Amino acid sequence: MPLVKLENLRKVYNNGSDNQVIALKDINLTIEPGEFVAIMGPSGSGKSTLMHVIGFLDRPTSGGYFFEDQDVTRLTDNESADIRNEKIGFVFQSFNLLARTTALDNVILPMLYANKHTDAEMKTLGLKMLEQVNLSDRAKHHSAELSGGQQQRVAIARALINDPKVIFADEPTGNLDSKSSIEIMDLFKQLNDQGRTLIFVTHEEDIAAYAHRVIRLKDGEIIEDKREKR
Amino acid sequence: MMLQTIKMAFKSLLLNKTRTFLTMLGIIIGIGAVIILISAGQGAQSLILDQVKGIGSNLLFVLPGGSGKSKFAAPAAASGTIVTSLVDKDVKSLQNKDLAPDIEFVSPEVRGQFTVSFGNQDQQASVAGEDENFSEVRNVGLSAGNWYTKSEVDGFAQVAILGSTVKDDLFGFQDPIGQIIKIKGLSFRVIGVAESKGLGVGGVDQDSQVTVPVTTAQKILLGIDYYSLLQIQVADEKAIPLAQEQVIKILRDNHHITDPNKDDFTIRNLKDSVALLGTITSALTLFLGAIAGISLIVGGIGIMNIMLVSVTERTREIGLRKAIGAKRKDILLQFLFEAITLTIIGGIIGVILGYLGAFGIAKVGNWSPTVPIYAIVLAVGVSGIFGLGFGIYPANKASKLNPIEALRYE
Repeated sequence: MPLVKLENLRKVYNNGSDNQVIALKDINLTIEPGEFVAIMGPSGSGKSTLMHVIGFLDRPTSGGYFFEDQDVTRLTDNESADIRNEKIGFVFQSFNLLARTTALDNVILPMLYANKHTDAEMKTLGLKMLEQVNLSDRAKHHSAELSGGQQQRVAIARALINDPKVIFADEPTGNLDSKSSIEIMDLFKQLNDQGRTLIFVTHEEDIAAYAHRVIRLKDGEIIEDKREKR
Repeated sequence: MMLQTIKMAFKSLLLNKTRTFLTMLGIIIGIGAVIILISAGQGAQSLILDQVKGIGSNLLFVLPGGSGKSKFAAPAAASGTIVTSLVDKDVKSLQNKDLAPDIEFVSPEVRGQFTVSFGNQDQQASVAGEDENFSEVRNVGLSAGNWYTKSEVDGFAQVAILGSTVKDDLFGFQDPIGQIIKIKGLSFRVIGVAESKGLGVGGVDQDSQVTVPVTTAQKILLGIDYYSLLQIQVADEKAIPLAQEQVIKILRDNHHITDPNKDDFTIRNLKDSVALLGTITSALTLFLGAIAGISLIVGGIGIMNIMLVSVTERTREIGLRKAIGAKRKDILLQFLFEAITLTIIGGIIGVILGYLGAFGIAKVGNWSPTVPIYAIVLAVGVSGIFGLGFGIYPANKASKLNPIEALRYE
């Protein structure tokens, strides 16, 4: 069963008006569980739009999107929110941690919306997750007191906390120096080795090199889809 | 989920203390200002009315000289013209129960300005000649001594009641009772000291005047046979119109007046004065109401602005919360709880500060502090509506965006 399957997926901004922009043109794509995928392309190629659509942050204009064989193009806002909460994790270029909030509280935030655990359980799970990203000693630090790399690791812990099927990362190293970038990509690699599906957008070749599959976009179309032989 | 959302709302308020404080401040000031203004307006109004009512609203004043038709125009006597039309015969007729059944007392008055001295202390003072009924008619209490009697009035007794200021000026802490003072060079025995009363009708400072029997003042000090004022006490406030008719009839008969426009006297009653003051204080209330209304609007707009800014500023936060799985309902609940908490706490502090402010101003203004319920309801209601409305409106707008639009919000 493919994790993500796109059929003739289109995304058009300002549809019908004079300045309509076709961001994605008839994308057909299948991603299997356990893959480590990099989406590349120049700015304006539609790579971020593609990531947002398959990450349930935005909706396609037309075409089919099947997530675990389920048609998800007609989901309500609340159903999308549930999928974002339970099945996917998102890592942003600008970290997007809550200000004046501790690393631990940032990590457990998705669990609050899932509402499946007691406060004590959430704390234990949150600390465990911080340990996994090597930040146990920073649990009580506010996000502003952390370095960029540390903030991104908190964001990754947050993305992982509800044990999602797939992690999406939009330029996860875009705001980081090269040393932190390597740390983050090593962490991703480690997560993929544990079987987690990872899909990330980048425009840097050396970052894309971590992936096992590189999809290149240009003007809203896939121009190359290359799998590394294992 | 509800509980978690409430916890989240509180956490968010606690973590952003400056933002929380500033937002609350808008509500506090809005509510406090409205309560203080409305209360001060009411206090000032009742102070003015009470002072006038304290003089007694069952009194009629007859002043010499006509004033034409206008109810509030000054009679001729007030403009310095000496009118000699009110004489002893008028007083006798007015005291006649057959002619004027509704009149209880008639108390004639004359006034003059004389040098009053004791030992080597002397000063110019207003000397009022009043009869034995004056203390009762005008509610004048004595802090020491006794009022003079009818026989002393009839016998042109040279006795004096001192106003509290005059007493202090002439005697200091000495006991003045039984002492002899000089008025216009004549000896008067001090028999009483009046209680401090402040300004009386027409702005007369009752505390700096000396009161002597009206006969003594008229014949011995002034050497005249007319009165400058007749004070009439009516048995019952309700009988004032009747008594007024009786006074008019008697005085017209006595003065042989046939044309009502040529009356040589003017009747004033305190009811009319109270009514006049009522219109003044209603205007004052309206004015203060307008100020309160404006402060409500200003307070409301202040709350609106800070809410709009602080919530709109959090559009990215809303985007992030949605991206990790918050539903629109979760976002709205959180912001609703934040706004409710801010409004309630701000409201309570605002009401407390409003009360304190109202009491403080009442102390300065020397009126009894009253905070009308409607002021609190109005202030809290309007601020609450603005606080909740503009706390939720931008949050609702942001919660409708898809997460990526909200996250990109600058």
